[in-house]
Amino acid sequence: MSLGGYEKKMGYEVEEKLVNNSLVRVLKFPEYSKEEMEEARERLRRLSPHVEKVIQESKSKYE
Amino acid sequence: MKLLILDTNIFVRVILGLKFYEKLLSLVALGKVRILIHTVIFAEAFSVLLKAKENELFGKVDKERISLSPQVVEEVLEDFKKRIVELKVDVVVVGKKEVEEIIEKVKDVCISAFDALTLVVADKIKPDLIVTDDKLFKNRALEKGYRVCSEEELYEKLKSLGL
Repeated sequence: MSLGGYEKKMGYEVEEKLVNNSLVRVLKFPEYSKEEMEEARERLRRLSPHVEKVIQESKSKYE
Repeated sequence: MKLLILDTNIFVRVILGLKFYEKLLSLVALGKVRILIHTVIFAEAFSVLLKAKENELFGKVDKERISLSPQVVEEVLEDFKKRIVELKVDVVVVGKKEVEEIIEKVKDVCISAFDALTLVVADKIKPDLIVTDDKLFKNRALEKGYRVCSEEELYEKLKSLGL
């Protein structure tokens, strides 16, 4: 569903959806194959130790 | 079906599929839990992944300049999006109206603008639970009647919700 120029500015398509009986606008993503999603999951999993470093550094900045 | 809003760090850990979240991920796969975030959490989680990628490739995050090529940035974004699709996460778009409500929420709950925005979204979609690793946010939102829990309390709370 088109919502004016908003999605163009964001670079994403937006659709309206009922969530918990409330009509909200949500990002609409492309469809991916099971294999594509599995490969992405594995690549992201390898980032885990680095993500924890980033989170801890960011927390210590504010504590 | 229970609806959960995950704060940034929790959301990133879920996206990575960390062991602690395997049970939550199985509940998502069974359709018993649905994860929801908003576009600012989406952007913040993406920035955490990019910094992690810099850390992986270069050992540390360069504070002076961006070290990642546009191609690597795009690859990380694509992987992030694929995982969001796989987990059927709803990413609620934050618009002008929600932004305008932030100041009132900050005034009411005395939390960061970022956390206030999460509560503005929560007011609209009424989640069963908000999960955060930020103690100040958790305690102050709890005081105002929001259903919030820490990472450690997650499974206990899900149990109390009948899961």
